[in-house]
Amino acid sequence: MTPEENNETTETLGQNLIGNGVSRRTFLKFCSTVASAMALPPTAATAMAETLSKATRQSVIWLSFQECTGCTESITRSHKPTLESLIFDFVSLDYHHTLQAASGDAAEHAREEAQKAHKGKYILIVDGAIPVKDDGVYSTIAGITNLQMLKDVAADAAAIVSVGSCAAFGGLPKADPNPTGAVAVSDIIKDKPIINIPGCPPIPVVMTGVLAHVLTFGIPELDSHGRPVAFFGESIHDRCYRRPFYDRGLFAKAFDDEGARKGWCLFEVGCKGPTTHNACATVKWNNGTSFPIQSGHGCIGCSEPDFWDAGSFYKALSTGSMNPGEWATDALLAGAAVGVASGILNKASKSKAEKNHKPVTLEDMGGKNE
Amino acid sequence: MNLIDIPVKTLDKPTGMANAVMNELSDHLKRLADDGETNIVDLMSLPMTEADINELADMLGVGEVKATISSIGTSSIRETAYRGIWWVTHYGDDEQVLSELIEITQVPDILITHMDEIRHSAQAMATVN
Repeated sequence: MTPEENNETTETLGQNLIGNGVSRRTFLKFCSTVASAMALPPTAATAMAETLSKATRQSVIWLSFQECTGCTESITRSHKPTLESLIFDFVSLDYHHTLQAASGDAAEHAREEAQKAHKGKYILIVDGAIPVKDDGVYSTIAGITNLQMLKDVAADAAAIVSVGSCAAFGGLPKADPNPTGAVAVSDIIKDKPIINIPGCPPIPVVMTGVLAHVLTFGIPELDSHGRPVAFFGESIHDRCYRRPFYDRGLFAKAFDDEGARKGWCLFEVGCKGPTTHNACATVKWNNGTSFPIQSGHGCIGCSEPDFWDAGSFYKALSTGSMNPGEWATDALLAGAAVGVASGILNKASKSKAEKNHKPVTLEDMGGKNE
Repeated sequence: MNLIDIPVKTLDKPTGMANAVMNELSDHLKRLADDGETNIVDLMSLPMTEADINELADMLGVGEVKATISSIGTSSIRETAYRGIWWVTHYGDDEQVLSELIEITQVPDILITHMDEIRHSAQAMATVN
């Protein structure tokens, strides 16, 4: 369906779903799962299903910039249709350069047509950071810089959803030394409502949940980082099933000690759960199988700004400070003490990037260094 | 090798959460009985261990209604021994639990056939006959 045809249709989403064989029970199940994940009031699932079924399909333009496609993979990766992927039945995805069949001029034409047909009404989803150094030449699509394309498409959007830590906070491209001058969407666009859904990648149901909320109840309540409070209001630590061990002072000191085997708290081996806000502990990953802490590894804090530059993933929060600079010093000293980082120290003067490289030491991992 | 074959297990003991949830359900059931007010408790939003969930299931018991819905994975709806308290579990296509709810209601919404679908079916049936 072209955007023009879509614009003319008055078919509601409910009618569309029945026609496509998606039952109302499936629809209600989706809404129940979303409402549960978003901690919405008990009646929200039914209200959400009713509201969505009466709406027309929302036009969505998805722009991918400096990214690894992990965010798209997260939401679409499945051999069978999943409940999360149903969101693609609820919206009219008019442009997504990885998923669409069209390429070249036809693809860019589809984007321009959707912009015109749904001017002021479409939702713009962005994944990836935007390089701004040297006028943004470091990432282009169809000869247009990411910077220019974002400005053009954002101008007529109703709202913007920044998916993934790169679009939300700059992510890996922005990590020190940030050679392309990468920034977040919110650093460039100042006059549109922006919802940040960080994570590397974000949890699929968090993405679909926020989109479903936008389609039904509008923009959800956001925290100071522009993240929906429903998913990012509490820390991993708050909802961690290992929290009782933390409260009782029972910690794994290394990844292979008795505490680790007994499933004790991973705080002392570097878990960033206490300072990280996300829904991993409740929603979990890989079809609800587990989340990093459940698999025996601490949280690395991927949904927080600049987490790449916040020091070693294996350094306990209590032994450092939240200042990345101080963490860097600690990590280098730890490496020097056991001689693991001596090679790095010898070459320290060669380049800034090398000097700033902070290797993970055996000691960081909680191993014995004798 | 499967995950369950790895010979490292974490302890899974009841933490007392089941008792706390039972208190909340008791309050909700009284509201349903007195005012017809329905409610839902979302078990996945609570920090419950598998042992807690099992303990709660034992406390609530098994009632006389059991229904299964097949739609992108299954959904299991069971009335507990306390009439009006339903245990609803939505599974994904790989049998993973998507949401686990305790509904305090006469009948969970998901069991009721929606009027839009009844109308659609009526049209389809009229076409066939």
